Amino acid sequence: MSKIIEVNGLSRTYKLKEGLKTALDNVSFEVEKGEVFGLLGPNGAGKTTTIKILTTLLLPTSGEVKIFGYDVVSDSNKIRDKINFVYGGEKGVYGRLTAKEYMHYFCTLYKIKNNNQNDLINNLLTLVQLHEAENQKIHTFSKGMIQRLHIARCLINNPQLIFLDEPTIGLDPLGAKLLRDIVKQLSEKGITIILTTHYMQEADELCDRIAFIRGGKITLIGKPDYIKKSCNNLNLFEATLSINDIEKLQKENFFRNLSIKTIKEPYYIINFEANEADIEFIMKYLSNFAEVLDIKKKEISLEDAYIFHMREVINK
Amino acid sequence: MFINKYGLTTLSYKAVYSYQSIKLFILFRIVDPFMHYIFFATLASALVGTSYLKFVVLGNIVYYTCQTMMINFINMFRMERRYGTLELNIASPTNTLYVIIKKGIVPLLDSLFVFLISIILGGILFDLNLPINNIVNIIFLCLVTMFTMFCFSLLFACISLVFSNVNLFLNITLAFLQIFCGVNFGVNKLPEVLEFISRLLPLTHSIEALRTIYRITKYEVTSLLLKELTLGFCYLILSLILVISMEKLARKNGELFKDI
Ligand SMILES: Nc1ncnc2c1ncn2[C@@H]1O[C@H](COP(=O)(O)OP(=O)(O)OP(=O)(O)O)[C@@H](O)[C@H]1O
Ligand SMILES: [Mg+2]
Repeated sequence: MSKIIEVNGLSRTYKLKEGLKTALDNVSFEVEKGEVFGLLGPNGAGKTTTIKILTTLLLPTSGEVKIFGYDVVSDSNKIRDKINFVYGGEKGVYGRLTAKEYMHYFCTLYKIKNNNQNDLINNLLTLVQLHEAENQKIHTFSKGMIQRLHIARCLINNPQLIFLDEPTIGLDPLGAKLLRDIVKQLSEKGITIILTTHYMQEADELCDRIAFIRGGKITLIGKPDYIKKSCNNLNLFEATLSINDIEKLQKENFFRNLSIKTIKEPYYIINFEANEADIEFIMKYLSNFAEVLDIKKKEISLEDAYIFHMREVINK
Repeated sequence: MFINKYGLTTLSYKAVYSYQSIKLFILFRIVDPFMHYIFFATLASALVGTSYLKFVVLGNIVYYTCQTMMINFINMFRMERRYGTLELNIASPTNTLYVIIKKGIVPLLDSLFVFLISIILGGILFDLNLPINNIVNIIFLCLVTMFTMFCFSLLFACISLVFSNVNLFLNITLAFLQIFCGVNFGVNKLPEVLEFISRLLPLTHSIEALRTIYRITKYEVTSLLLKELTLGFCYLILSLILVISMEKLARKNGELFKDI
């Protein structure tokens, strides 16, 4: 397999009035052809900064970044021909134009010949399921439609690599699902995709590999399964109890990050973490407080892993 | 015909131009210059006497044409920034200056229209009879003036991308042009240093040339227009350099083109 992105010791600082702000600190990673690669991290972690540098819109302060073997600093034009990007949100459209006109505008900017524009636009709008709305003005579009239009726009130059920065931000579940399906389709066509999102389930569903980034550093990188397994000392349990004195349970240190859901007194569902992995032991311990109706060890989701991991990073 | 329905110019006009309806257009392109000239004409004749009236009106015709072009041109970029589309335009493989020029064509035509209307208004209201025998010069003046104004607006548009409060910057520049380009009084009345500055600005030579064509002043029309033309080319080259260096700077700083 060939490496499409090679990032080596990438750092970026911004000049602020208060001094220098480090947004990226010695970041290194690689992305293979055809991968869907997720960048996950809290607000201000440096995801957008990374994407801006990789799309050649921003220069690195130090370090080396190669896209298709081209250097982002010196060969930006060659890179720009082969990539495209979408920033989530409702910006970046001309509300007064129709979807079709908007696409024509960018086709011209991307130097698509007049004769070929109609076919290309038809294909792309069909791909993102907007062909029925092609003559509708964009200001009447929903957020989901705008986002799909952005995707269509970013495919105009037939890119082999696209960057999607929070593409599903603010979309309703159906809209987000539609968008995820489109991302999957693109991936099946062999397009390499770099994605940022705050929705862990989405990342889990879409990404072949994921990097956790925090405070400008990559703290964990790997396949979603690997990331979940890396939390193997994380034991999550969910139990259904019948309990009279729930407060006593809350005071107990044994149950970390305890969350309690009342079904109907005295019945509760509780979620917690424990140092102990053995379910028999947990059950015994719990029965000191309550009658255990049901208990199961939870499978770790990417979200659990994310929360666990980000907490650990802070504690360090 | 000549209009490409899906060209950058047409679509930019549709997407971000201020005047989309005929009613609005007529109101602003005929009534507004009319008021502008009346105002300055009354002011001039009240202060200095009616002999001065034609002098002032001709100066204001050129100035108002330029004002129309600049305001509408800059407004397009304000809209682009509000929509967050500027970055997408800049990131495309099409040369940024070329995109900006394409977007400038409609304001250019708009102000050409204003110029022609103004010449007619001047004839009707202020007895400014078009010297038909001098028509070649008039056409030459029109072309040169438009070209230089356009290049100046281009330069201005590039600079304005850096400012977060574009309107303030625009108003100051327009006031500056009104004072230093000999709109309401001859630039030879200015101190030497200031006159030198005014000779580097657009409009100055065009205004003098227009007045000469209307036989209000006596200068060499051709040499004035050639100077104006040279200035236009200088502005064009400056814009080119500016766009290239601004694109570099934007990549370095992260945000040169502030979204409002
Ligand atoms: N143009 C800028 N000037 C100064 N500081 C900036 C600039 N852009 C980003 N930063 C800072 O750099 C850091 C990383 O920002 P970045 O936008 O990359 O984060 P992010 O991971 O995309 O966050 P979010 O999830 O909120 O989108 C933040 O602390 C931010 O304040
Ligand atoms: Mg971001």
